[in-house]
Amino acid sequence: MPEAKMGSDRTLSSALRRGDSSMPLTELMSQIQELPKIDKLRLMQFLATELVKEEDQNIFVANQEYPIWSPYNCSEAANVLMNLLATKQQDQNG
Amino acid sequence: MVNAQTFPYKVIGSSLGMVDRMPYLPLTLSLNDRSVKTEGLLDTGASVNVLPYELGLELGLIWESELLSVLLSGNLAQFEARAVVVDAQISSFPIVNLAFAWTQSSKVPLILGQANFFFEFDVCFFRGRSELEIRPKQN
Repeated sequence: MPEAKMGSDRTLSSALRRGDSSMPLTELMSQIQELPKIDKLRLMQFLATELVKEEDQNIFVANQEYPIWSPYNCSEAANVLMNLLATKQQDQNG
Repeated sequence: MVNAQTFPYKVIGSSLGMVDRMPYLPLTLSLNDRSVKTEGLLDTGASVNVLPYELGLELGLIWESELLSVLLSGNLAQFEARAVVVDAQISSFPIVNLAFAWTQSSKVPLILGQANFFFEFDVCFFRGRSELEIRPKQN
């Protein structure tokens, strides 16, 4: 039987509200077992998001190149393309 | 008024965390008697459309015959690019002319940028549900 069901009256939410960061993992897990299904699913989603955040911090590595293919601020190139387009469309329209 | 069409974002890799899908749009490019089914990255920050080199060849373009040079920025600045116009069809929408900077780079994706893709189409992005809606511009 989980420890939390053997007399501990602390709930996970109350522990979290108190900011009790010293709660042992075993105690935390036993309290998680008592959560309703929907809260367990929310907890899974929360943990998945936390893991992704940690991964994201490691995406960039020092001294490595990360190509930016987007042609930003190429107004001159845009003008050339639009002029060519206008010429072609004039030709098409006879 | 033409109804908007909805397209899902494309899953590009599960190892990329939250940015594992991007707004790629399926489309068919045509030139003379050739056509190629492909997909383009909708890039609202890009000033121009960009056609990768190999795709231009598939459409029958000949580099030496396209004489109008354009200068691009970023990583594409190191490659020569030429201005070309091809037909494009998206979903069941009417065919439009799209002008591209045809780059000698083959690494770049097909980019759909402001000139002139976003001049021709209205697009709404719904990142939360990983979908986009598109329809021809409304005059």
